[in-house]
Amino acid sequence: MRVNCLINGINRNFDIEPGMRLREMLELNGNFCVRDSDDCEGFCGSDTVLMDGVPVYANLVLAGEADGCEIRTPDGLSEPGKISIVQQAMIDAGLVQSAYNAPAAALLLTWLLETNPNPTKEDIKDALSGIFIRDAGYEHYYLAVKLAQEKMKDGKYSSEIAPSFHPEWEIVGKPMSKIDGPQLVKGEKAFVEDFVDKDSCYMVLLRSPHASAYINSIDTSKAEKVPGVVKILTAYNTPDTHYMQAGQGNPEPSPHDRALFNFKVRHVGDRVAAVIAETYEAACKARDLIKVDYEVLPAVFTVEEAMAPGAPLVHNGIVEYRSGAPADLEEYNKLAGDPREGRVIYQFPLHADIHKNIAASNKGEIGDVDKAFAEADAIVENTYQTTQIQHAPLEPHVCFAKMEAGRLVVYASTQVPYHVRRICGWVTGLPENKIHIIKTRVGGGYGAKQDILVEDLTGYAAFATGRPVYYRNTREEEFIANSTRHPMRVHVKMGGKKDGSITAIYMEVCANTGPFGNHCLTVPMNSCSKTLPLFKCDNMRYDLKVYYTNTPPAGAYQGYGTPKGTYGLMMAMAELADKLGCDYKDMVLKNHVEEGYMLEILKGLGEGREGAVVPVGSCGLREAVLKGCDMIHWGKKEVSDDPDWKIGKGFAMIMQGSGLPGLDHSEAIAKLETDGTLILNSGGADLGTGLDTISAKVASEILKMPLERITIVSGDTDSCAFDTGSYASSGTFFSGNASVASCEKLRGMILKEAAYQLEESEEDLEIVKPGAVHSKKTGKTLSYYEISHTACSGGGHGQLIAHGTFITKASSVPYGAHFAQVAVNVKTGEIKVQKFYALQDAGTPINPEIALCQMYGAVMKSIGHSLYEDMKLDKKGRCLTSNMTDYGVPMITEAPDDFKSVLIDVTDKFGPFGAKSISEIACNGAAPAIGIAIHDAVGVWVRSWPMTPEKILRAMGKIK
Amino acid sequence: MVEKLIIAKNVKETVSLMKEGFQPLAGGTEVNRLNSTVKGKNFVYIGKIADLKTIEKSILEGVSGSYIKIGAVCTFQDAIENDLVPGYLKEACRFMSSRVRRNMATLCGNIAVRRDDSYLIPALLAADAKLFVYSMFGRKSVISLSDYIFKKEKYGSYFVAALLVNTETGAVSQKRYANTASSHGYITMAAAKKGDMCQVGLCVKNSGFYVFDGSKTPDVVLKDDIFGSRAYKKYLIDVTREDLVSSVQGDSGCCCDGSEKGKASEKKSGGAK
Repeated sequence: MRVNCLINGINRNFDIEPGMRLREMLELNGNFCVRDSDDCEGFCGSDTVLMDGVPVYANLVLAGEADGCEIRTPDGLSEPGKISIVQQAMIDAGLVQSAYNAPAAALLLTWLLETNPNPTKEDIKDALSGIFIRDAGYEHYYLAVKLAQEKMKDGKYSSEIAPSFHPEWEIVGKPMSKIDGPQLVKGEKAFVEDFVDKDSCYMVLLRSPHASAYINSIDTSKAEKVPGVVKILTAYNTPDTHYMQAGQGNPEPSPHDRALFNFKVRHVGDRVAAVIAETYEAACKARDLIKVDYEVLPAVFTVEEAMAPGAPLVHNGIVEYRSGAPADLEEYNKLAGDPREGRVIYQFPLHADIHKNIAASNKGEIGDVDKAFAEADAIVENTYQTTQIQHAPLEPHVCFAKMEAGRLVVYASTQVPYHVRRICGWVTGLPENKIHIIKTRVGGGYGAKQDILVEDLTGYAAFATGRPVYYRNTREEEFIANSTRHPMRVHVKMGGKKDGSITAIYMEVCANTGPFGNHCLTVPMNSCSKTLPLFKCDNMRYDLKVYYTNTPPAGAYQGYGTPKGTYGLMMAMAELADKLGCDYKDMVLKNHVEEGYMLEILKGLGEGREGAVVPVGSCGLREAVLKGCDMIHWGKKEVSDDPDWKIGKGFAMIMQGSGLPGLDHSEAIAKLETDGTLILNSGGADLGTGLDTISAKVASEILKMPLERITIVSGDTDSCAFDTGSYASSGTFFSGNASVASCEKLRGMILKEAAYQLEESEEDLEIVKPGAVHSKKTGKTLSYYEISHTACSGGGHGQLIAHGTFITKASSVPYGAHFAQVAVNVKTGEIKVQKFYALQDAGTPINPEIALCQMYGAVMKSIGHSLYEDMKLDKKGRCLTSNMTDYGVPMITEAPDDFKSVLIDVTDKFGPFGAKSISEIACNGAAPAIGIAIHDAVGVWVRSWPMTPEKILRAMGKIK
Repeated sequence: MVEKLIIAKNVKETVSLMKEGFQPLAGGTEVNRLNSTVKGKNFVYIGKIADLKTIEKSILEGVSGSYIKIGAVCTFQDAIENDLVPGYLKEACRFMSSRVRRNMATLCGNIAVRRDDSYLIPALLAADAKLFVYSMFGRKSVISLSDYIFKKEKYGSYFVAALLVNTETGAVSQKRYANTASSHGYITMAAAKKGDMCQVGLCVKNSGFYVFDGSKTPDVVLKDDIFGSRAYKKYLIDVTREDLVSSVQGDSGCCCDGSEKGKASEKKSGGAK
């Protein structure tokens, strides 16, 4: 049918199929920033456009309906080379982070201010009520509107955007625009899907309907006859190379327990076959014609089922060790089952036992725990459960791969480009010099894109077919075939004295890793290693076991296991305070660590190797607790004017890490170009959090040159040097420090070259703004242009290029305290988070406005995890909540009425310009703070996520 | 997969196409949505029929009282912004949390799909709303919403051209339970004062619709599901019925003149300031 409409003021005509959606038509028109995050669910709002001046979801409009209409899309908000006031305000407020739907948010705010120039907070909330923001939270949207209003009225901002730190520096610690902000908010090409070749094939996957089954046979004969089908990949025609999808170190502390395709499927949604075809429709049609004969097996879904005697085994194949094999391995392997089980290969011992479904384990202790419990005046002992949670990034997992001049080129939305290259190399057999990974902008990661979940297969498909191949998860596949947060059972025993001192802590962690062992040791280990060191306690014991099950896979998720360990430990501490009759705040202040305290407990918590005992470094924990208690009026009982609602308060201490000392590794190359500008090649993978901006800001500060003369190229394996990737809060600390190292080295080289060119001594020279060398002795000045031009003109020493590497044994730990005030309805069990205050010591926040938004975003995520987000499975392991509506994520409506993020001013000794990590730690506090507040409100302890109204009512005895 | 889409010029053409198997399409938030319950390949788009875009006072032949007629393509947001629309219906429209979806979704569409997580149907059942419908043969009639919902075999194929709400309805109080504001509601209940009595409309996800005298909860067939256990839902239905009935009997619900005397939404967000 024919459609004539006005798109961003230009008359357009289309001949379309009746079923085409408006978003698809706009994509054809080049408005690719009208994106799809929810497979036409009308939930996330990435597809928002204005139709005749009214915001609508373009995926829910048939293109034919737009005939005669005027359409405005986000890319029409500003002219090329310019940026609108609203778009700039969003960047300045720190909101443009992973930014997959930032253009849509900018469109909504523009519409709001055009139709209502003086909106109230409720008006803003209403305008944004149909857009899901996972990265930066919602709070700074109110600020962005205010900034835009000020700019429109006065031509400048008068509101403070964020606090500034370190007045002695001009760039670092000051709110400034994120360098990739304009590209992202304007909806320019940025994400994998924007770089797909027009002749690309599409790949779709046939996935298992069974939680556990052997594959007897796969008949692809009918599917292969579908016109346009290029190849069908199965376990029968792909390499039997065992590997691990976790992008973490090498060798990994995770078992190699999977191939591209296996002859045993281990969860509903597991890979069975991949169809590569010239069109998406042909690929889907062929997929539906594949016949699979399964031998269905019994399955296990919980750690309790997995640990039961005689439980069905998730893996029962041959076990191999690359090092440290036990002496009885040959005997052990005699118990192996069907050859279709495949193999499990350990890089080093993880204390696993697949015949008991144990994927990894660890235990350790300090002091005399039993004696300390015996000496306690009171002991609490309880179990805290957490459920399976999805990252829900707005951009699903997506990959485009092609062969080019004999090399595999992979466009990846990843946190770990170098691990993607390594694993693509393993599955294809190509050496690393024949693989080029191009990390695009990442539309939301949160740990999900630390795992190489789609790049392995897409890369192999391009390699095997020689054709360009594009793959994108559906939203349902994001739930059933991705990595998720490990469900855990955290058992805590804690003893204390009447004076409030804690004598002993015992922590038993049982984690459910699903069918594969991605991060199976490190995630639960973080439950202990990033929680127990909060306590000044000499007697502590931990015992952790990780079980294989047939649930959807688990893996890395922002915070790893720390949110769950923190939930258990802090709830137990509050329960102990209650039992001892102590004030919880006093107990916290009596037992938390302070700078210099030696963390003996870390000795055994070293990610599969011996850990390092280190003292507590810079620590703003006490200040966070005291300041937060003042803010929330700790100790003052609030009373609702409605007797059905009771109000309570709670808080939790939190900590995390800043990368993995001794394991992580970052590099950067700073190049002074011939015109005196700088290109900094950072191995770090900016996943929207502002890492590139950090590199640019530290370069600007060190080299005293303006930001606009600095370009960051990052995460490209051809042009940048190795970096272990952005995970475990390593970005700022490791990659940022590598940028510092390269720029400091370059500064030395510039001074040396200038001394040569000026025929002066280096000691007499200094770097001055805006990028020049000045002689304190002669008063002469050479600009970077003059220095570099001369250096590269035959008479100098060649281009000035500095390579910086950062490794360390030092540990920079961020601390904080999160506070919640909740109202609980005693009749219905409903919970409302009224106030939330997040106070964190992040060292020097290099990008303070971005840091604050990351705290808001992480807290919102954690409020969701604590109260409603939950992947529910039926008895056969099928996910019943595989879309956004059923799963339930926090929208702006769910945000606390009073929500504040506060940065505690602490300077770290080891971080770049004193910086520590920020966003991961912000996932740790909400669950215990809310759980403790619920108890304060209605007197019951809810010891499992999500803390639902039904659980509260049951705990209150209102439902049997 | 939509194979045919015809942009209707008037109701007559719509009804005629429906007789040929076409399904009406208005806001698109149900028909075009992931996992839509509306099956079909041929659709008639009614969004450009001017007659269906109005909200106006209406007197029904043979029916006492005055009514507001809300046309089939009027959206939730249109209703919220219109002064004629009663407060309780605006409140029910606001249960749809997303403004963007409210800009698209139509009241009649929400009724026509008979979703058991409906935002509107409980309040409209409680308030004895009516529908202006066309049969497949083009015959116009006014039927009760209750008949339309509970007699699906008879009215399933009718075209809902307008919603009719009585302007003289007494206080209406309502409550919706959902995991988040954007999640499907698992229990939505409304109570309306009807003389000395109280009429309750209820929809329960995975169980269906109910309309009953507010003095007693009827037997509702409940299921354990992702929203909670049977015991939880039974408990909620009981306490909510008591609360809502007490609220309207104390005349503290939403009135049809648009003013909101009710406290339901305040209670929902917690009492503390």
